[in-house]
Amino acid sequence: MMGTRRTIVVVLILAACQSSAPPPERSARAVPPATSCKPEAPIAIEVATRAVGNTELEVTARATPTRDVPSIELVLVLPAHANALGATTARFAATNAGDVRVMTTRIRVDHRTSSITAVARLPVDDVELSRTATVAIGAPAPAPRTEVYVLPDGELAREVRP
Amino acid sequence: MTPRLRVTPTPDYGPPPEPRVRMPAFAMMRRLEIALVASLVASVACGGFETTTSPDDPQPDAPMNLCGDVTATGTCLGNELVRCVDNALATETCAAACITEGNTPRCIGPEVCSGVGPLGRCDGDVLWRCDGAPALTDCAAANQVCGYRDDIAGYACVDPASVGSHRVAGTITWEDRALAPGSLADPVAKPARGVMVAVVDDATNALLATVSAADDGSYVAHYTASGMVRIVTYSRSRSDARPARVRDTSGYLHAVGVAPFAAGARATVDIMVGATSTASGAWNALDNAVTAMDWLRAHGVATISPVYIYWQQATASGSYYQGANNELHLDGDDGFDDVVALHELGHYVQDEYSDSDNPGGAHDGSPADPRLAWGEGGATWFAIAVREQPYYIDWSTGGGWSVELEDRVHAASLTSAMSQNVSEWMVAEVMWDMTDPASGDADSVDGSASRVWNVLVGYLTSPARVDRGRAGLDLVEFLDGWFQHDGMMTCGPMRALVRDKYSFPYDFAGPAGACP
Repeated sequence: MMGTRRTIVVVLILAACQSSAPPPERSARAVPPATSCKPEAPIAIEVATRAVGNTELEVTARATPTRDVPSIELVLVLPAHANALGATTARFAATNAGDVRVMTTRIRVDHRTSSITAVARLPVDDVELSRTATVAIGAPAPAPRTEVYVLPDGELAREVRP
Repeated sequence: MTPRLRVTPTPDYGPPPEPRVRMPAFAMMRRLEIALVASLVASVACGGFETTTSPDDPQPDAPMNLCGDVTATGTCLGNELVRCVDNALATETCAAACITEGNTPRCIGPEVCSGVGPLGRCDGDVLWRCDGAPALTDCAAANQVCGYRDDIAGYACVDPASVGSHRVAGTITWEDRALAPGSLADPVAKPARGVMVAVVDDATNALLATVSAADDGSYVAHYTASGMVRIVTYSRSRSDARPARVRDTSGYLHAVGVAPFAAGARATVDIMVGATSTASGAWNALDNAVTAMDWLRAHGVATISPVYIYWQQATASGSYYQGANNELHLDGDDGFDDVVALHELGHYVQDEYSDSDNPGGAHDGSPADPRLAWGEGGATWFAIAVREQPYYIDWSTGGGWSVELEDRVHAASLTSAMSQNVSEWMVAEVMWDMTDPASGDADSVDGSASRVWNVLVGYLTSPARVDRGRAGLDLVEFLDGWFQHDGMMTCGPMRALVRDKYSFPYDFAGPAGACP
C-alpha cells in the first residue's frame, strides 16, 4: 500500500515536470469546413511534429484531396530560427480523391515558442487554391490574462488585461 | 491647449467645389460697397473738408486701396474667405466652410469629416459634427463642454453640471495589416473608427461611462468615481449608423483594457490593439463592417441592420453567414482577410437589402449551380466594389491564394443554355465589368457601382421580377434587371461583354424588351 502511494507521488511529480516541456508529438489538421461559404480548396492538410533528440523535429505533412485534382504541391513554412535538414517542398502529379500524399523532413530548431505551417496548393480550373494547417512548436505560449464580465445590456465581454 | 475657433456655418453642402479665387459681379459689388464705406470712414476721420496735405497722405498717382478693413490675412464672410490682395479684395469660396482659428481665417473642405464619423468628435471643447455639412461649435462660448450625450446624439455641447466630474480623453488605434495578393503588409496603426470605449470601475467592472470613438479614434468621456478605474475598448460599434459587434466563438465581445488608475488621475489614456494581440482580428473585422455600412449609407440605405460577427484566433470554423440571425462567422486565419470579411458581409447585404436563392454547400470556383454562382459571385462583387480592387484574396501563412477578376475570364459556353452551371468568378467578373468605367480596361461597358447596386436593391427585390434561366435567382435575372433600370442603350457593349467576352448565352430579351 505504501509503495503504491509512493509510485503515485512519483508519477505526479514526473507529470508535473513534463507539463512545462513541449509535448513530444503535436499535430494540426485543416479540412474543407462543411459550413464554410467562401471558396474552399478541395483538400485536407495535416501537419505533425515528432521530437527527435533535443533540437530536432521530424515534420510530416499529409494532403488528401476531396476530389480528383491534376496536381498537388506541399510546402512547409518554418520559423526563421529553424533550419531544414531536408526538402521543404514536394510536388505530386494527378491525385484521386481520397489518396494521401505525404512529405516528411527533419528540422533543427530550439524550444522558442513558434509554429510550423504546412501548405497544400492545387489548381482548380485555372485558379491555384490552397489550404494550411499550423502546428505549434517549442514552449507553449502563455495564455493572456483575461477577465470576463457582463455589460449593462447583457452583452458578455472578455477583456485582455495588461 | 485647443485653439479657439470662430465658426461660420455653411448654408449648403452640395458636391464639393474646387477652392478658387474669383471676382464675379456679386463680389465686385461687395468690393465697391466695402470700398465706399472705407472711403466714407476715411473722409470723416480726415475731417471731410481738410485741404492741407501731410507726408502720410497717399500720392495722387498711388493705387487706390479698395479693401477697407479687410486685411491680407483676410476674414470669413459666410462660406467665403475674403483677403486683401494688391489693394483689391480676393474671394475664395470654401469647399465646406470658412473658419477662424485664433485670428487666422482658413477654408476647410469635406475631408475634415473623414475623422469625425456619424457621432461627432470633441476637439477640446470644440464640437465637430458632419451631419451632412461640416459644422464646428465652440461649446465653451456657451459655457458648455464638449462631451458624449448618448449613442443617438453622440458628441454634443453639454451642460458641465450634467456630466461626471472627471474627464478622460485619448485615442483608440489598432494595427492593420494591409492585404494584397500573396502578402500581408507590416502592421500600421489605424484609428479604431466608432468603437465602444468605457470607463470601468476596477473593483466591480461596472461601466461608469460609455462612449464611442470618433473616426480619428479620439474619444472623450466624463465620469464620476472615487476609486480605481480603467479604460477599456470593446469590439463593438454602438452607432445606429454602424450597428456591428465582434464576439469570440464563446459569445464574448473582445475587449482590451489598460492598467487601472485612481479616478481623475489621468486625463489622457490611449489604447492600441496590436497586430499580435489575440484580439487584433476582431478590430479588423469590425473595421470592415464599418466600411461596409458606410458604403451602404453612401448608396442610399437609410436603416442599417445589425450584424453579429464571430471571430477568434486559431479557430477553424470556416467563414460563413447565417441569415436567420445576421451572424457572420470568420475563420481564425481570416482575421486580416478584408476580402473574405467583405465577401461574407456581401451575403449579409443580399440577406438584408437584396436577394439570393443560394442553396449553399461546398464550392471552389468551378462551374456550379447558377443560383450558388450568383450568391457567391454577388457577394464577391460587394467585396471588390467596396475595396475598388478586382481581387478576391484569401490570405494565410505561405501567402494564401487570390483571383484577379478584371482581366481573367472564367467563361461559360455559348452552345449551352442560359440555365447552365457557371463559375462564381464569372459572375463577379461580369459584375465588376459593369461597375468600372469603359476606359482603361478590356470591356466597353461604362458602368458604376451605383448602377449595379440599383439593380440589386431594385429589380431583384421587385415582385415584377421574372424568373428566367435556372429556376431561382441567378445571373440571368440580374442582367434582366440591368436593362430594366438602364434601358436598352447599353445593348451593344453588354452584348460584347456577356456573349463575346464571357460566352454566356444570355438572350437579351428580358422583361425590359429585346436588344436589336
